[in-house]
Amino acid sequence: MATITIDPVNRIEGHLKVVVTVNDTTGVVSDAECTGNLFRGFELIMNRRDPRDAPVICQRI
Amino acid sequence: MLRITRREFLKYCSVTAGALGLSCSTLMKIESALAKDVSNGGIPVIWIAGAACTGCTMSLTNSRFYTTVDDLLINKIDLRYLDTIMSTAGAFVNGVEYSGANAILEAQNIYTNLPYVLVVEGGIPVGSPAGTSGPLNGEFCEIGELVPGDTNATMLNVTRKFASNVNCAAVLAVGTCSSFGGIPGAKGNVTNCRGLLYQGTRADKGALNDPTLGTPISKPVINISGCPPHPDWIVGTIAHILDTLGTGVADYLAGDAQALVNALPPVTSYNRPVDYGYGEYQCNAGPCPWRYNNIGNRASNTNSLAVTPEPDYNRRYPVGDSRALGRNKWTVNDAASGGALGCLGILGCKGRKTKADCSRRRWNSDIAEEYGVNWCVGSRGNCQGCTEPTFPDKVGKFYTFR
Repeated sequence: MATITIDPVNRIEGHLKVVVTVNDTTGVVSDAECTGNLFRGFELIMNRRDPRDAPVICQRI
Repeated sequence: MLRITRREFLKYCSVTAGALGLSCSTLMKIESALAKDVSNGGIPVIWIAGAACTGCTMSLTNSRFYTTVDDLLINKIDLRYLDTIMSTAGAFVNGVEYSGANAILEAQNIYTNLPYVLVVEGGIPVGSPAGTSGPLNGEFCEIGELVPGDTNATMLNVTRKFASNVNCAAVLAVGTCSSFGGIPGAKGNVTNCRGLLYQGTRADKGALNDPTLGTPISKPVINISGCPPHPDWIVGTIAHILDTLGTGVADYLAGDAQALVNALPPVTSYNRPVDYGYGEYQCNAGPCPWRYNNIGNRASNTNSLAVTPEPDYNRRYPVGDSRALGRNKWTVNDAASGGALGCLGILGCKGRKTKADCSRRRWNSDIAEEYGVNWCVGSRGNCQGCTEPTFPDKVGKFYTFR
């Protein structure tokens, strides 16, 4: 079994990591997972703000 | 995309230099830097992105005034690492770097062997998620194992290692996030996002110079703030530094630290380059078409450079003074002129507190020798103050008059 990791994934907006476990004789993928590597918490930043500020801040997501 | 030749580019430079207020020496620097091919001693540029929305990269790709982005990236700047644009990803097999086309190996090679210019986009989260070990480990953002022999892939660790490396010739913080914290560092965030040298206006709380994060890194940093920054501000600053470093980098690597400092453009408040956008407040830079209810230089006169009115300084209050806002109400104009032609300050426009030259340069230019098409205030939207360190919590209380 071989583990192939793509980190970082290029040509996307943001940060992504992909890990694939593959049988190196049959080529069958037995496990795959991906991870978003960035958390900013826009929902938490929006708490207790003037609702009119929401479109101005959330456009920067 | 329209390509311009070197000859055309120089012509555009001379046509627009006076209009943009660039000094002659500034212009010559840009010309010689952009005329220099990568094969003739260009320095690699590494662009890493942390807590970012990629808006700064998008803004860079809209560059048109100095040169187009394809010419810039292919012929002028040796951009080795920018994960939004580059063609290779980071690849590992069983935890070992795959030795074919691999962005990680490229970054590690440059880190070890070549002098480079580091560009940082996006804030640097230094906080720790609940349940993780240790204080301030920056695990809210991981960008890959770019540092050789170091499996800690957090944005905090990679940025600090790349900035403190002896091969790092200069550091650019592109965007308000990497300059001051910006939107991800706004009030209510749990990631503890910082800029490189600042957290908001606080100069000792940046990701590079906060003592609680380790030994402060004294590398000079140029902040190109803005959300996003105008492409001309980014391209102009990079060109300025690359050109100056072309002669000084050998001295720097030989131990002359002053060669590095001399390469950086002169800065105004908060380390922002004075020649590339941050010399004056918005009201004065253009000047703003609406100040004193002036109806000249309107956005509809897009490319008519000749109609720019003379600044009128013979008023009771100086431009930007809050007391003047009541005398320049936005509704005083008669209906025949379309109404609503006056200053937007009383509606919450933050231009009088914001150092940027949008009012002069404008945005979205599609012809190299012309100003841009429009800007926020030109379309009767408030300036949000996105180049200022207090954005978005203080200047960015967008609908509050204060």
